[in-house]
Order: sequence, then structure tokens, then C-alpha cells
Amino acid sequence: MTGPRKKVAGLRPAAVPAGLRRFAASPGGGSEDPRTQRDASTGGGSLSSTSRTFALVFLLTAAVLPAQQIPTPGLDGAEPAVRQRFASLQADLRADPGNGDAWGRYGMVLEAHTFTDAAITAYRQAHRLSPRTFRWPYLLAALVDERSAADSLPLYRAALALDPDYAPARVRLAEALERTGQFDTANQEYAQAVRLDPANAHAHAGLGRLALAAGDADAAVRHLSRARDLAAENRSFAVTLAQAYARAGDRERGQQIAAAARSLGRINYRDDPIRSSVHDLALDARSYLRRANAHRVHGELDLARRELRAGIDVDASRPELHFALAEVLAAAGDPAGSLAAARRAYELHPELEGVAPFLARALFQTGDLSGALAMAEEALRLDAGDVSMMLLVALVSAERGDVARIVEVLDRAYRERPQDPPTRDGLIQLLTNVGEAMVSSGLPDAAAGHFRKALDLAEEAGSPEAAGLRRRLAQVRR
Amino acid sequence: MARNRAARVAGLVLAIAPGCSAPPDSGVAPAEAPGAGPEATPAVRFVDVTAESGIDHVLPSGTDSTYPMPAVMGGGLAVFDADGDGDLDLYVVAPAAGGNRFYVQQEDGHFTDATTAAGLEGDGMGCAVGDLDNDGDLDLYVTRVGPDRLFLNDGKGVFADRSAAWDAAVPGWSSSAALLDYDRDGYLDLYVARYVAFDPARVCSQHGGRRDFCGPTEFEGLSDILLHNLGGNGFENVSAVAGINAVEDAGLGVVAADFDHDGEVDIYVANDADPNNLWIHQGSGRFLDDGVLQGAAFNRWGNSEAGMGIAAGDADLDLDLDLFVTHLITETNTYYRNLMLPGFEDATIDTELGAASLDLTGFGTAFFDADNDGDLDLAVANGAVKRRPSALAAPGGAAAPPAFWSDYAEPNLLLFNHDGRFADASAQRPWTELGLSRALVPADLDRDGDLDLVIANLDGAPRTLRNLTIDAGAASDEPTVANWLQVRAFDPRLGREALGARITVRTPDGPRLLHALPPGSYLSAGPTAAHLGLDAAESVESFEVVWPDGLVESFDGVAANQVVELVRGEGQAE
Repeated sequence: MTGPRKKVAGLRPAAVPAGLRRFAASPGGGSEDPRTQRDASTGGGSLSSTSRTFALVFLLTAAVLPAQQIPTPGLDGAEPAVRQRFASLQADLRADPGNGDAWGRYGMVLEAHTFTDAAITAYRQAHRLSPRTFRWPYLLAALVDERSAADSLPLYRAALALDPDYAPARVRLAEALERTGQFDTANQEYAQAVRLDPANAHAHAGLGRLALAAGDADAAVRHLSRARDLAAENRSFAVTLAQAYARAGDRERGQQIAAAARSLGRINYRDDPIRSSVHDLALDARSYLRRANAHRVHGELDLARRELRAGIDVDASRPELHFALAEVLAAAGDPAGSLAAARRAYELHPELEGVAPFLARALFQTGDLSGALAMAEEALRLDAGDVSMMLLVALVSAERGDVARIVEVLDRAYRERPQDPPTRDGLIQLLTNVGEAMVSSGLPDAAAGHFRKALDLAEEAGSPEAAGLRRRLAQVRR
Repeated sequence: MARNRAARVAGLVLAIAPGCSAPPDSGVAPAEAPGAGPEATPAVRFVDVTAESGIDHVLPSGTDSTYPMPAVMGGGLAVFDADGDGDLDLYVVAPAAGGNRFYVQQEDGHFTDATTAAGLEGDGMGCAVGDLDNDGDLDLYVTRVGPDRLFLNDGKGVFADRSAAWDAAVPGWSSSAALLDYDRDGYLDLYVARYVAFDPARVCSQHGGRRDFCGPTEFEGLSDILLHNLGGNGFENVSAVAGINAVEDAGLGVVAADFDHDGEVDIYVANDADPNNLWIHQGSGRFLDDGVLQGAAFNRWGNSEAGMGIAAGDADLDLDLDLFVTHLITETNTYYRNLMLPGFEDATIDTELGAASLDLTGFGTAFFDADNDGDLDLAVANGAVKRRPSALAAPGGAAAPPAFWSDYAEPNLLLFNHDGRFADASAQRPWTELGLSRALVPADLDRDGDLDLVIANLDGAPRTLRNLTIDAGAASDEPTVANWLQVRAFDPRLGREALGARITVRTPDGPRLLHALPPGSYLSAGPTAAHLGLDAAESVESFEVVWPDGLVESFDGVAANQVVELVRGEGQAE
């Protein structure tokens, strides 16, 4: 409806004198994508009737295509690695402007750095020059889809004509159909995607969404449950399933699922190697961090570490990269490396959210109590309500026998978050320990106060420790 | 009380016959003809009269090379009768220090700057307006990146800062605020949506590494605040007791209304990148966020979107409140149809509201009957928060924003309702003009019986768009087919309008639902008088009012084209 206002880069026809050679040639560049390789091998042999049709269309098209200008995005302020990559790809294109796969690769890099208009132009050119390569119309369709689902439909169909069995593309076609209100056709495409790949969670979720919108809550629960089983980390499936349960009359189950979904990440990932390969091409530091976070979600710590180190190579001044590396290294069991990375992040940005508490904990774990205490105090200066740092101060103080400090910090923590179960359990344990320390120091009256407080908390929580604390309190009072 | 007691026509009689009440010296004439026919999308219904209005203050964003996030999020607006003279005045709120301005509307329709005299200097993000001390005038609450401010009105449009005395200085980054009387004690309470724990030291960039404004996911969200009004003498923070502080999301838009018709006022909050909250009042001051199960937290796809502004209205004419939430570029704006299960469904596709917004970043929005044809249309204020993938070209460039914003500027949207499906009617000026628009308020500024629009723009003057629907009818010899009513719900016990009153109007074309509510929108406050387009109908048959305290009364119908005031206690109780 907003056709006139949308500025989608206009397509200029291209002159491709080397088009026929390109048609039969390898897509080149050492592409690791098996789909592209399969396209290429087919093109090199005897042509099927479909291929002959493509060849004819291509020859006719190529004959009338004038020169295509290479789209050059504004890179002011971009990181050097990004500028270098663009310069290199543009030089490749100038040297061989009829190379469809070179255009496609350029489009992927453009898209990876969010130069959408230019990427669309490049993909269109790639599709014209390499019309039998699946990935170019597919990537073009997915990008156009971000602006107009209706405009993406013929592109998805063109891609699927080249490879009808790539289930992620069929799911995206179904989603575009759903967005344009063609629910019956969308339903058929989702079903076809399920037949192609019974483990495709997005296809099952599509069937569930359509059922929910049609008022069939029971069918929605069935399909969405399958989607959730296949992709338990996907928050979208979980919350839609929760809603379906509520519609089906089972609010309690819906509430359980909705509550569990709170801990899931906001970003949902798809198993779509072709689309994923685009995002792998982004060379700026933030993209390295984004990819590393994606790997962390899947527990791929080595890959996450590799991305973060590459990002630091691009721009070592970004504290968030060092901090993320510290977290990954800690999870990978490298406390020394983690500590070093955390220190660097702290040097670069002492107030970076979470870095001071992380560093305090890392120092504590490596036995540097003085450092841990100082950093925990710093963290509390930045966030006076950080109960975890209060508890850390209490732990260090306990190690040092500083009872007065322990009591002071515990009181603060208790006031700050009296209802929080982990805090409460930690406090019960600490109050008990302090009580025992006071007993050992010959201060039974003071100890009784701490046991009493621990007992109150344990009773409030319904903790099994309450009985033991009650007995211990009685002993101390005696 | 007699059953046929007529609705009381307001003594102030703001409106008279269509076409004859335009300010005499406004300098504005209908510039272009209206749409061709009933089936066609009206070509032009609005004309930009900012230059003639006297509203000339460029609202400073405060942006600079550090790309401070508040500079791209601010731009608030209040349209209200501050001085009690019967016309609407204007308060604009700017993120940059000293950027706020207060304009008083004169008898001739022009606006004059009265900021200093009114005591309303300062800065902020947004505002809320209502009679907080029940003294018969409208007070002003200003949200800020830092402690909020409360200004009490002396009845003549002079305000005193009572933030400290009322414990109203909510800390942190507040965005939109909504007034509601959740405990039905007769005093308006205040819900303050809060955004994120902004850290100005955080540096953000786009994928190419170019510096840009940060987004909400760079920071922790903040819990919202519910302030209970202590008998018109101050506020008490009851967020914990109410359960509101259970979540810490990046809140931007808020609307308070009884969405499920259970007699208790609920609260809907649009969160930026976080799931929206639908706080259902459980009674006794406790709220439960039921947005997920009621289908209003996530869109159809199960995604939380970048919720900015909210419009609430009965868009499908089934007598309940639907919701429309504006979002970021590459996300559609989302229409949540109220199914009264209770619950909502994302009906963006069915209503064809998605495509128009996909390439734009929406903020302020409102359901309003732009052409007085009896159903609710939509307006959306747009402007990107990060550099657009492609800059848009301004046709003519008449209102071009400063060069800094050239990669961010976007046009606004006008969407006409045709039997529940919306058509984009933004192809001509002023809708093609580019800017960084934020707050948006529909209001009948010139009191001619159609709804004009005021839109706040970053580093630009607030744009005043005059609705030509009535003018067009008056300019021709054809009888107007754009009849209307404006309906106020007044509670004499409180000495103020009955905020939240639900009014069902029986019209020849069927029942219509109105609410005495401000527009919601984004960082906005506006009149609570409800506007009803009547198309060709020359009268309405009756009114049924559900007052906020639960009393239900009926009132007799009235002729079209006037402002009516329904007074609690003067109808027929049911």
C-alpha cells in the first residue's frame, strides 16, 4: 500500500557478454555451499529441458542487458576490515562484471552489513547472470520479504523451482503467504515442508499458528507442542503454545509454559545454512559478538571463542568483546584466561554492565580475596542493590573473620531482597555460619540472634533446615 | 430521575453548525478538494497549518556526535485546555534542556508562547494531563530522563512545580504516563512507564561499524511505577503492592482502560523489544500481567516487537477496545483485536495494516474518525531510531529536517478504515513530508467538528494538520455528510470529567462505543472528550454510560453536530 514511498533500489539491466561462459562455469570462489556446487555441476553437463529453458531465457535476457553499475554503500566511519573487504569485492566485480556468483557474494557481504538496497541490487544481478543457482533468488526473496511479503512470493517460487526440496525456503514461502493472508496456501506449504523435513520446527509452528487463528485451539496445541519439542529454546513457539493452551481452556498449563518461556532468549534461530552463511560474512566487531552469542546459546564455546578473538583482532578497544570472551572462557574452564579478559574489559570500561561483579567473582575464585573485596565494593558503588556482591563481601569477610562486616552486609542484603529464594537460602547458610563462629568466639547471645534470624527465614521458606536450626538455637540458648 | 431526561448540552457550547466556526483569522482556507466518493480513499483531508498557527518553536532533540539515545526517543505533547477558556492549548516536551514550550490558543485560533508566564520551562520526554486534586482544572505531569515533575494548575493556566511535595519525582528514564482511578476513590492515580537504565557512556554502532544510537537491548529495562493518589494531596508509590514491579521491561506506551469489561481498570504497556504487559486488575489494588495468555504480549509470530505507541479504540465496531501498537522498521505495526474471551488476537493481516508500516518506524498513533464516517481511522507518526537501510527522498522537501536526520527521516501515515480493512491514504501532502515524528494527538483545535492532528517532531516545529472534512462540506453546496458529536462524561461529585467512562451510543447505523480516555499514543496527552463521526445521521437515539464507579445510566439521544455533556446522576439508572 505504500508503494510510492518505498525506495527499493531500481534494477538496471546488465550487459553480460560473458554470460554463456558464466552459465556453464563453476560459481567459483571456492564456495562451500553444497547447494551451489550441485547447481554448478548440473549446469556443466547435458542440459535438462528445464535447464534448456533457463538457458534460453538467460541468453535472451543477457542480449539486452546494458552495464550494471556496482552499488557502493557509504562506509564513512566503518571499521578498516569492512572497508577492505568491500574494496576487494568491488575490484573483483570490476574485473569480471559478468560473474553472477561474484555479484551474489558481493550481495551477501552487503546484506551482512545491512546495506539492504545495495544487496537487493546485487542479488538481482546475480540471479540474472546465474539463473540456475538456487541461492541467489532465495537470498533475494528473503531480503525482499523483509519489506514486502507479496513481492517476495515470485522470488521464493523461482528459487523453489530450482530446488523444491529445500525445506527452509518452503517454510519462508509459507510464512510470506501467511503474511499476505493466503492462509490455505500457506497451510499447504507448511504441510509440504513437514513432509520434506519432519524435524522442521518452524513448519510445525506455522501449522499451529494457522490453527490458532482459525479457532482450532486443540490442533494448535498439537502442532505447537511438536514445534516446541523440536526447538525447546525457541521462545516464540513457547509463548504461542501457552496462548493456545489458554484458548483451549487449560490456563494453568499455559501459565506454566509462559513462566518457563521467560528464561528463553528473545532471538530465535533457524536451521537455514544458506541464510546463516550471510551473517557469517559481517566483519565488524559487533557482528563477531552477535555470532559469538549465537554460538553460546547452542553451547558451542570453541566457536564463540574463535569469533570473539577475531572480533578483538578487528577492534581491540571494545570492552563488550573482552567481557564476552571472559564469560566464554569461564564457561570453558579457563579461569586464568577469563580473569585476564575480564580485567581488560574493566580497564576499557569500568562501568560496563556486569563486568565489575564478574571480575569480583573471578578474583574470589582464584583466591585473590583482597582484589575480590575491592572489586565487590566497586560493584556495589555502581549498583548499591546488587545482592550477589553483598553476599560476596560477606563471604570474603567470613574468610577474614570480620564478623561486624558480615552482619552489616547481610542486613543490607536482607533488606534489599527479603523474598528472593537464592538470597534467602544464602543468607540462612551465612547466618548459620556466623552464628557458629560467634559460638566459637564465646558470644552465645549474639550467636542466638543470628540463629533466630536464620530460623525465621528457613520457616518462611519452608526449608527442611528449619528443624535443625530450631534445635541448634535451643542448644545455644541453653 | 426521569427516563427521558435529555443529555445536557454543554453550557460552553464549543461547537455549532459545521463549517461556520473556523477561527476568523486563521489564514487558512481549504486547499484541496476532498476525496472523490464513498468507496474511494479520500485523497486529501488534512492541510499543514503550522506556519499560520504561531507554533514556531523548533523542538530541540539535543543530539550530537555522541548519539545520545534520549535525543532520538523524545518529543512529547499535550493538547488540553490549560486555562479553562474552552479552547485547546498546547505543551510540547523536548529532550534537550530548556526545550519545552507552552502555547496558549487565542480567540482567533492562533497560538502564543506562554511558557515562562505559565511556569512550564524545562525538558522531558512526555506528559500526562488530568485533574489530580479535583479542583476543576487540568494538572500536568512531565516524564523525564531523571526525576519527573508534577505541575499543579491554578485554574488560569499558571502552574506550580509540586513534584517534591507530592512525591512525584519518579527516578530513572520515564516515558509515557497514564491517569486512572484504579481504586475508585475518586482521585486519579498515575501509571508511569519507564524505559531503560540508560548509560551515556555506552557506544553503539551499526554492522558496518558506524556509530549510531543505541537500542533498548543495550541496557536493562526498568520496572514501571504506580502512584496512588492520596486524596489529592500527594502520591504513594504502590508498585510493589500492586505487583507492577514484578517485571523490568523497556516501557514506552501506556493506556489504562477496562479491557475486559469487568468493572476494573486495566493497564496495557507497549514495551520496546520486550513482551508487552497487559496488567489485569484483580481488584484490591493487585494487578496480574496476563498479556501472554491473553494474546497481547507477543505478535502472531510469537515475537516481542519494538513497542512504541498505542492506540486504543473499537476499530471493528463490536463494542470493545482493540489495540494498535507501533513498531520498528522491518516489523509491522500490530493490531490486537479484542475477542473478549477475555483475550486478543493479532489481526494485522486481516485488517491489512501490516504492509504500510513495514518500512517505517512508528511512534505516536491514534484511532480517530478522520472523515466522520462512523468508524475509526488511524494516524501514525514515524521516524527511524537508527540509520535507515535506505534514505527516503522528500518530495519537495518543504519540511525537511536538519541534515543530521536525513538518514532517519520518514513520512507519517494516514490509514482509512473501510469495513474493518485499512487503506493507506498517505500518498499526498502533508503525509509525504519527511521528519522525525514522535507524539501525536488528535483534537478538534479549531472547534469545527472534525479532528485535527498535532504531531511533535524532533528538531522541527510541532506540526498542526487541520482536518478539512468539515471545511470541505461547508465549501460546497452539497449538504454535509460528515455529521458528528463530541461527548463528555462529567461527574459533579468529583468536579471533573469521569475518566474511563464507557459510553455506548445508539446511532441509526448501529451502536458505537466511546471511552472518555486520552489518546494513549506515545509520550502524549490529549482531550478526554470522545468524538463520534455520524456520517449522514442527523441524530443519535440514546446513550448508555458505564461510569467508573460501576453505575450504569441511560440518556436520551440528541441531534448531531454539537458537544454534549453527560452528567452522572442525571440519566436513568439501570
